[in-house]
Amino acid sequence: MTSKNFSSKGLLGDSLRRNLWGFVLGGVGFFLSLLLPLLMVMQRALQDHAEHLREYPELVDNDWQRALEQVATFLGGGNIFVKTVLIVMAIVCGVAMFAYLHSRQKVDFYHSLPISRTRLFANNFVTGIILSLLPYLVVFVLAFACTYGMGFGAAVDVGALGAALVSHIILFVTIYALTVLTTVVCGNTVITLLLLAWVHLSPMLARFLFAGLCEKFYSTYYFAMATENIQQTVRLSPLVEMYDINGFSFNFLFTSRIGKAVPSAVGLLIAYLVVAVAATALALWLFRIRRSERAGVALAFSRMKLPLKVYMCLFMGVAFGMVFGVIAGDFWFWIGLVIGTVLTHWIVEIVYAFDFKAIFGKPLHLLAILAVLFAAMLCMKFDVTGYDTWLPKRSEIQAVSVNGDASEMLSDAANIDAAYRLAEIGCEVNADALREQGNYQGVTLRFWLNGRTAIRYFTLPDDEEVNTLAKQIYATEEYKRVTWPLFRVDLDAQDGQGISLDVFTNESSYGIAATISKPDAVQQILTTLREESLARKENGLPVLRLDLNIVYSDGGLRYEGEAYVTAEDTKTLALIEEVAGVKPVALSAANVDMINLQYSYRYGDSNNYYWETVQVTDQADIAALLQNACNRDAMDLYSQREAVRNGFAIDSHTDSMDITARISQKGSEDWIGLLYAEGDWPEAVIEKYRPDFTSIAETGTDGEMAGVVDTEALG
Amino acid sequence: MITADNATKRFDQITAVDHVCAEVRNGSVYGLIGSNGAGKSTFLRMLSGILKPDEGTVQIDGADIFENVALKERFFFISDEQFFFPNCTPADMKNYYKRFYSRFDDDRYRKLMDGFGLDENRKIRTFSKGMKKQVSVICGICSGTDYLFCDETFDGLDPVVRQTVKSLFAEDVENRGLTPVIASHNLRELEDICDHVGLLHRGGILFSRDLDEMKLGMFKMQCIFTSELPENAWAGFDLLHLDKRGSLYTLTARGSREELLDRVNAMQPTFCELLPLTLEEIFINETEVAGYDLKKLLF
Repeated sequence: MTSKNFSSKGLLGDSLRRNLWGFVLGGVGFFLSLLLPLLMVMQRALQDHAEHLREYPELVDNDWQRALEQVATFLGGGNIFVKTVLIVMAIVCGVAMFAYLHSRQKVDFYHSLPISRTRLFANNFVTGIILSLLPYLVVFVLAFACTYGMGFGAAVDVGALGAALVSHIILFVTIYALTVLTTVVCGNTVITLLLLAWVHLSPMLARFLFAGLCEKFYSTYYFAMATENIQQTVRLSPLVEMYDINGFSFNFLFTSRIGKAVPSAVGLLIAYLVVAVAATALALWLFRIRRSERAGVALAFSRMKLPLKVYMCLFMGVAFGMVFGVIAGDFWFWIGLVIGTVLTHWIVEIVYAFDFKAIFGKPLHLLAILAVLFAAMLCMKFDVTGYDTWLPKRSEIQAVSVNGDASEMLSDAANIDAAYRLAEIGCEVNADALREQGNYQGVTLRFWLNGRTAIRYFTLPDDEEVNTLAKQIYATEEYKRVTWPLFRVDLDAQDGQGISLDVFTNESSYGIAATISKPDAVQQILTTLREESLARKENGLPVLRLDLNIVYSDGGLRYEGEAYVTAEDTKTLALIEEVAGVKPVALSAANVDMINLQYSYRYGDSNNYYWETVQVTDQADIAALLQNACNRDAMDLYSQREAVRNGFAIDSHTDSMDITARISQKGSEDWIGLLYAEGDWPEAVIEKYRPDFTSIAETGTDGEMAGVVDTEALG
Repeated sequence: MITADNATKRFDQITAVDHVCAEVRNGSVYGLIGSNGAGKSTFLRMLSGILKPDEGTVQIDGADIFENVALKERFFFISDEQFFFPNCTPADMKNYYKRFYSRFDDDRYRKLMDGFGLDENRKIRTFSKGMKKQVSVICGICSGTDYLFCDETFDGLDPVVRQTVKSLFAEDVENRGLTPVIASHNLRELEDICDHVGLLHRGGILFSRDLDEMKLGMFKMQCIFTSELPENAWAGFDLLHLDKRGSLYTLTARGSREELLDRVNAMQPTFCELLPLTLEEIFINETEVAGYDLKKLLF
């Protein structure tokens, strides 16, 4: 350029002046999300501090510490309001800076000016970033100054704040770059916003849909909605991940952690930075080759139309199929596939042409997409790839987890052998037939294979071999150490964390008998219980349940799991009695006036059951039923397999019928479930009250509480 | 010099400009006429570097215009739908243009703003359509570029302003060799300023001629004869048009002025005079010869 006036700096200044609304929007947004709440918290804390100094001096230290943590949260990476404003600014500025591409009038103006497209792109791109980040940084500095000015300097952890700032900027730039890319790709602002939602959410949802499909068609597919799968999936969306990252680590918004160190988010942030750079480079390239005449059309690049349409049709076809299948069954899954695909194709064609008459356009595309979709679904249905029969080679397996997550890997050869045999049985049997019969159990095996994991869910027969193998694994010390919360909880918790124990007895019902939170006592009880639990000889039922909670310095709790105390754990019981005054209590007939026995009866060849409840009010029978029983609700053990995993052998009848007792204590009345150890099943009383199901089967649901339940619910 | 060589632009299935060849000499005033949808705006947008030709080339002095920043500094494009920044004033627009056009003439800008009675500190959104056009024209003229591309620029201007703008164009053409390229669907608007005209129809250029050249070899005459002329009286004339109303003959013919006058006078008319040809008449005659009915093309 020959113009002395024309410089990048001058043009940038001009752009910023013309877009002052961005500063105002950002300034107001960050003031309301960062500075104002911070000032409110600090002012309130100072007021409380002065009041407590006068009236409750014992509360001063704790409250001040809590106030400092609140201030640190608002100032740092835990402030979700700031994150929300950053997302809004990234989208608003990204679209606004490039929305001129959607107007012929503006395109004519800008593209006739003597400025290269590269420079124009750079100018607009940088303008959007400055409009968003400058107010953020200014408000951040003000907040920082106010924090020190009001005496809350102790809340400032410069490293954590720096990490929060860097992670916020990286996530902002990633969302911003993706927004710019979408805006450049589109020729219409409304379509841009719709496509942006698609860009941010569809990869994540597509993964869930694919998981749903695999779960539908593959009997051994496993996708746990509550484990690292969720976290891995949400990583596909930086917009969602913005809320899960706090500085350089994760917030655990989408996953839980038990006894694990806080995982680092640095790798993910670097990946997002790479995505941001790639998206920016792609946006620049597309911006340079973009035809000015595409202003006002749905998509600026015709070649993108077909792939995007195919992706949308496949996605929506599967989504409709899954929804239809869930509502009305397998047949409707296939109808849903067609309806979803056709509807999406119609809508996309209308949007592409901005003409309703285009609804029936490109019928060959539609037919081809349907053919591809059905071919893919049939391949999955008939397991063309052999997914369900696949097993890794035994020699490849370095570790395996049984019904656990990646942190619960067992590496003992005996455990791997037993798990591998379970997997072999799972591949040999007909899973559908087993489910049909109703006599089955499931096991999830996660194999660690030379740097990668493979997870399979196997449907196994409920026979002696399977139960023996499972019990063999659950009884090993390695399994207990790796999976029991008792061993996983960190006894040397740091960062102001402590552990508290909520104690439950057979009489507790849903209430807590006592809470133990003194660090020394907790440490001693858990250490003793660890030793004793590994030395147990019998498989008796628990007499106490301990809920393990991590206690934060602000009083917040995080539930970590359960630990059980049996009658064998005498030292632990003595310690608990000494510390909390709580000792095991047997269930007594004195405060139980009625027990309900719920029987079930399977009829015909179907999977349906009649069930009927019989009320027992005879005190002798009640006493017999309570004699060896344990409070299922207080012990939080609801199935035989759950009990086995915790080291208890409960009677196999327990899963097939429900026994509940009405217990009156301390002026209130509760219904509690009853649980029996192996061999303690009160068969005589149970059989005494068993109804005549033959007559019930003939007359239908004439019983007092007759109904139909699904086999799987019982299984 | 601007040259278009087989310049073609397609919008999906529509060919807006179809293999157009044209030359615009520096210092001339080029009128680009054609009916609505003829491709005038598209052609101008290619000249302005907004659109890239799908085929052929559009060049200034032998260099492609698209994405050529140095060339783009040599022209100013006044769109038929001008864009102004939201809430901006003419002064803001002037300052913005100054960043791109190094020869922008501030003094002339102020003089013209005063001359047109426009307040440079008033928001442009409060201006009428004609006033907005005036702001664009003033900025265009003051940008000091070699070329000025005007798309339907005279639309919405009142007759006085229209004449003033034409005078400004003429002044710059004379003083500094400005080359305005003016697209319009109105022939009458261009005839007193253009010296070269291109006629676009359905994306293709029907012809592109120098106006003086066309006028030189073509004359319109009105003659009155007392007696009926024989059928072959006009044989030998290169007639483009002949109309007879009673004894009054109106004819348009090719040839030199003297030759035509001599031949008609030899037929002893009681009255004979040469009339000036309007641009419209020239085009009607030219396009009729080419097999088109201009009235259907333009009106």
